[in-house]
Amino acid sequence: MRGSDLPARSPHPISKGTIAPPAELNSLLPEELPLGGIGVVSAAPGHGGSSLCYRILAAGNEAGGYAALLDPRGNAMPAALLESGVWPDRFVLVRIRDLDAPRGILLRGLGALLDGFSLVGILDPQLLKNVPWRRVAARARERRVLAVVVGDGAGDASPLFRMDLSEPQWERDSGGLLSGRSVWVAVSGYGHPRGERIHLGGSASEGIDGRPGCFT
Amino acid sequence: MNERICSLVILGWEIAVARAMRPVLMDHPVVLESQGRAWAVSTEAVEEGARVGMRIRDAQRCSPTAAVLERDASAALEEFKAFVAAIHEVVDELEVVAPGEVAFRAGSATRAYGGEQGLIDHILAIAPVVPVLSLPGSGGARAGVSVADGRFAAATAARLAGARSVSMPGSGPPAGSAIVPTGTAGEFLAPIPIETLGQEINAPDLIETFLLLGIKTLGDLAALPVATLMSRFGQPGLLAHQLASGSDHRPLLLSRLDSPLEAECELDPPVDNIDQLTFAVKSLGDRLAVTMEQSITAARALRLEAIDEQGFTHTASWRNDGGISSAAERARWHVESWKLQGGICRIRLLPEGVEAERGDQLTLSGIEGAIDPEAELRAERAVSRLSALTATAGVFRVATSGGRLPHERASLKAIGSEGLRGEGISSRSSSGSSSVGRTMNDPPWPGGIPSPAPARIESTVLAIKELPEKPGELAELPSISGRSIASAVGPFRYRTRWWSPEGGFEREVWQVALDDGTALLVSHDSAGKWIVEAIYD
Repeated sequence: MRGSDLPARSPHPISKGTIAPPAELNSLLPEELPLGGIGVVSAAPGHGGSSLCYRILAAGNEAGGYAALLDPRGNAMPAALLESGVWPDRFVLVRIRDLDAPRGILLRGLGALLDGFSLVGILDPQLLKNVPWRRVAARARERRVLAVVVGDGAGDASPLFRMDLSEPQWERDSGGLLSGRSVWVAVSGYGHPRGERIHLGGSASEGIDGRPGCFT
Repeated sequence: MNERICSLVILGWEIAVARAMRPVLMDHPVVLESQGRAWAVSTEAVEEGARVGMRIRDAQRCSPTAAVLERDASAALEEFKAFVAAIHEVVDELEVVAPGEVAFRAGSATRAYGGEQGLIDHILAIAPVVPVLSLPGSGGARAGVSVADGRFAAATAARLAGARSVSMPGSGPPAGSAIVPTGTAGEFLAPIPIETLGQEINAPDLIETFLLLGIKTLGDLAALPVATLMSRFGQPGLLAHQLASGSDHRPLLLSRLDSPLEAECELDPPVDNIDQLTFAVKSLGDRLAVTMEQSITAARALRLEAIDEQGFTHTASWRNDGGISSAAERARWHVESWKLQGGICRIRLLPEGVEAERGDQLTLSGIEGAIDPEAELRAERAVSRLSALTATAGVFRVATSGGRLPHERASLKAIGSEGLRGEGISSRSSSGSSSVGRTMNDPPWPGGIPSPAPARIESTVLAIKELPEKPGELAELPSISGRSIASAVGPFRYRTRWWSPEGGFEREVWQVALDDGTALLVSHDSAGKWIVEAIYD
């Protein structure tokens, strides 16, 4: 069964320390997604890693939380963020202008994100030099923040999403344009390891099958 | 870069209005009182030593002959509406900052009136048509108009110009003008006393502290490290620094001179059928909803007024929690309860408690205002701290824009002093549908690439001369070497902003899928380069 065929769960107030995962991950994550710690999305470029991160941030917004995305290279597509369902008044995007800035300044910025937001997405963690990920994880646990890191190099993760085998899908009715993709997702570090192929579609508010929770 | 803002300030507006209502005071010293202090002081009283902010007793001691009047803010605003209406002939959208002060974007009006000086001359020529300013001596009012980068620099320049104004030929008030060239707002503001910030920031303690620390001018403040100011004074300190250094990114709270926010219709012949009446109310509700949406306002409540054949007026009010366009159902309940003395011949639907639409929403619990204020405060503090690291990090919010390509459909706006809830931010409705989504899809943008948008922007120039007619090998690609094209859709041709002096672009766009399942947005520009624009990651 495709993840997006499952009904979206009712929003879960973030004050309980958990969030309802994006609808397309319903069968992979039968429980609520706990806040506090680092989650890693491991995927080769083009296999949906960024999109899954955006969707988890949007799920945090849906639950009433504030979310931020740390984008060191500055290549997150704003339109994709909105399509993923982030709320503009509860979401900020942080770009690092000087990747060679002293370590202390980067850590201060990272600390501010963990102190201020319930969900923090981090793209391209390999660009953040000398970040003590264990301390970041400890701070995230203490603050009950879920840091979703896209890419390897952030140490132990719970949960860990591995994404692979992406297959583009083309919309025959609209001149053959890309309508979505299906991708294999395996989850570990969170209950029993599971894996399944899920459908990735368009806008969260007007998904391919009229259901929210698709991602690009 | 800051927007070019045109600011018009009429110094002594409230005094002029008070004199227009009491012509006997035309050349007499006047002090307007508010909460026991002098709110406004005429030039004659200033010459005798009275100052704004003084206790009334002290002002009277300085100027014993001054007439002390209670400040009438509503009259001042009401009189100013005539001026605002006249300026609306020049610009469509403006912000009434205070009675006697307006600001608007200079851009389009500048082009229409042959430059910034032409715009200023045109604005000054409007002044004599305002009844208050057409009085002999203009009631002591002086007008200043300026164009500068950002609203603070523009307003400050306008006040200075007004203070230095000279009498104009004809019946207008003494007027002065100033143009602060683009990019020089910081230099212009540098020598100005720090107390000027009091006109923009309601934090007298902050300004007093600056003075105690020896910071006398805006230039002194701008020279301080922003991170230090942030850590010492928080958000007000950051805002003060931004204003002092001439980087005022605060948006104008623009409004339009729309038709009045009410909808009315005559019913001829009079209607006594409830269904017909409900239908009429529905069409009024739809009209009012459109008007209010255009003026970016929201109503707390709605009032329905109906006049019957006998001349009796029936009214009903209800809380506007179901949307204006759903007024018909609520109207039906009330009309059924009225004891009508014949058919209804006229109905009006009026909004009550009108305020700026901020996109507020019911929270998940359904209780307005139940958003965790602590979480909001934490996020705001984090944004403030990140903003202080300006050399290292940029903090943005995502906003919708318009365009055919995914890059154009949304943009990033730097978060400044307005914090997370900036201009144009709208939340989602409680039903989960997104006003953002509607905005993105409202314009037609024919030929645009539809959702989904690629998740990551790339700008990799491909080492190939042309994409084959039929998908083939792209072996030389630096980042996707060895992966062949499984399928491709295109080309979609775009020619944008061809009218712009900076030049637009002309390109063909393809959606390309590689054999490992990666999907890309690839473009071919007019220079013949193939570029991976974005990746569907």
